[in-house]
Amino acid sequence: MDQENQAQIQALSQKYSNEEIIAVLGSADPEMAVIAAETVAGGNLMFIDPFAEAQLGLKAYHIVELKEFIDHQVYLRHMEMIEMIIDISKIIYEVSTVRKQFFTSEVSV
Amino acid sequence: MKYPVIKGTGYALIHTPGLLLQQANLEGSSLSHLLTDQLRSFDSVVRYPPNQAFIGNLLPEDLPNIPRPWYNSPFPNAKRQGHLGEIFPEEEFLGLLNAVDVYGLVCLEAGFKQAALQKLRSHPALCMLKGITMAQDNWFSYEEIEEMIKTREALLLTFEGRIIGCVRKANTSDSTLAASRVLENLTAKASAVVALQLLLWKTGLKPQDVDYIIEASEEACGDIRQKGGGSFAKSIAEACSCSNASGADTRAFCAAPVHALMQGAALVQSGIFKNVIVVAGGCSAKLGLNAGIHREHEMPVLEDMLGAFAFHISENDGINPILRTDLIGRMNVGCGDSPQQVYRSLVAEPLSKGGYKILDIDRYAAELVNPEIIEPTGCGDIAKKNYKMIAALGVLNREIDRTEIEEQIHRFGVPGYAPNQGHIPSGVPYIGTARELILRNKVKQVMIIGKGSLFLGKLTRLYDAISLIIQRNPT
Repeated sequence: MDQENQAQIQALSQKYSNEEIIAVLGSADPEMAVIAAETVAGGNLMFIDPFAEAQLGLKAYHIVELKEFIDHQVYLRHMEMIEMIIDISKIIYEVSTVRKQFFTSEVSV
Repeated sequence: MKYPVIKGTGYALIHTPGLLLQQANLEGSSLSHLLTDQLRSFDSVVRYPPNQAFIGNLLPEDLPNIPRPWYNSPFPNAKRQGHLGEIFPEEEFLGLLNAVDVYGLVCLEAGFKQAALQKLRSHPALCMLKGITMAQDNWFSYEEIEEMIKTREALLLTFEGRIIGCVRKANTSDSTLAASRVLENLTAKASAVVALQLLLWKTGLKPQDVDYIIEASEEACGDIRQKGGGSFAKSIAEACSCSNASGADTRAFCAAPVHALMQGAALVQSGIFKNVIVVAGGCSAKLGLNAGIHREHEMPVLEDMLGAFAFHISENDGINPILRTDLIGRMNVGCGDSPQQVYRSLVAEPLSKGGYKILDIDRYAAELVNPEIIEPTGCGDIAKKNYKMIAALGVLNREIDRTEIEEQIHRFGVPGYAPNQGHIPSGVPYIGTARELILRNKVKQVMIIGKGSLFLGKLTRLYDAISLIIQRNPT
């Protein structure tokens, strides 16, 4: 994850409580989505600043997990094509596994 | 419409393990001493199948038939020379760095310089460079080189583990002209000179017939008050004796080569110039970018190659493939970054304007970075991701059945094989192969796609993409 993005996420997490924000992921790769989800939850696993010491405790959801909360036409305009070529069930499984790992109260969506 | 043509191409790969270690040192990496064991020999980089594809000894389309990992599948009939280009060893390249340096900043040890010059003088294309025919009378002892490294902030140059020279800073107080920047810029210049010189030699284009050169790398040369002033283009023209040429640099991160091709085509089609060269050399700052990850995966350090290319755009000769300047796909500022809108602008719109469908294009070539280099980083096969998007667009447009996606990708997607050098993989490595396949009537039309991470410069959050179609000459 880009260091500037990390700094922005860190600033937002300091401004708002953890109940007020979530991280929304857009990676087409389950592996990259997992890295991002772990990073915002437990800190930068590569130990690169500024998240090296930060335990932000943010929950991450992939955009495909939030489909039902988004206007259908808007979602289609952005996601219809990409949904054809990504492994949606794998992404949901992997990202929700990270949440369960870091947040014991987490249940499957 | 009198479309311009791609009249010739030149490609070069340069094996630079010493510069890779220098780059690791510059970045303060503790890896440099650990990496030595995983550096490849020149023989192994020549035999590496993606490198053979880059210089034209292997069709990129045949790469998927070779078992992975490719570094364990040496190509049986590998040669240093290919009909599209050539692979160069570091010794010759260090000699070239010295030969194209007009300010005496690259200082080589006397014996090393003599040996390198001797090899360059016997090279059929490079022997003609004036930096070789009239080599500067400057060489140094080991003691002098060590002194410059110790006391004058010079960067050491090594060959096979021993110090054979150094690069001096070009100004005592200007960080823009520090030795590391001088080395980056001279590396880009020297490797571009190799590609252009190969093009001139292979195609017979006379240097004095070149009118204009557009350089399309990602480096910035200048001083503290005009950091990216340029011009690589004219320095390359000068080094290759293109005495009647002018030129300038085009920048758009990795998308720049395709922008430059479009600009060059426009200059020729408008009649402003007859012979335009688009050229770019390699990027030393990207050497060993993922070396730590490759090391963790117990792979050889594959990012040890500089890439370079040169293209000759000329007036329509009725033979060579044309550049369809009326069918440029581009990502306008208002395009947004949702993949489907990007691919509509980039692929569907120009095709529709020309009356074509997605499957009318025989090959798509986008972000041709070698997947073997990138996959260990977790980013997957980048070229293939583009083709998946194009296939999915075909499904949306009801041109392709959803069940055919993989089959179509295999048919039209050019696999990645270029070194991870930013602007080098951006679609254009395939132009040489495309030109030959079109001339031999094996394919009719090819779309080249360049994409660039503009956001890295922090002026915008946008990224960029541009496409153009190369087509069989109808006349």
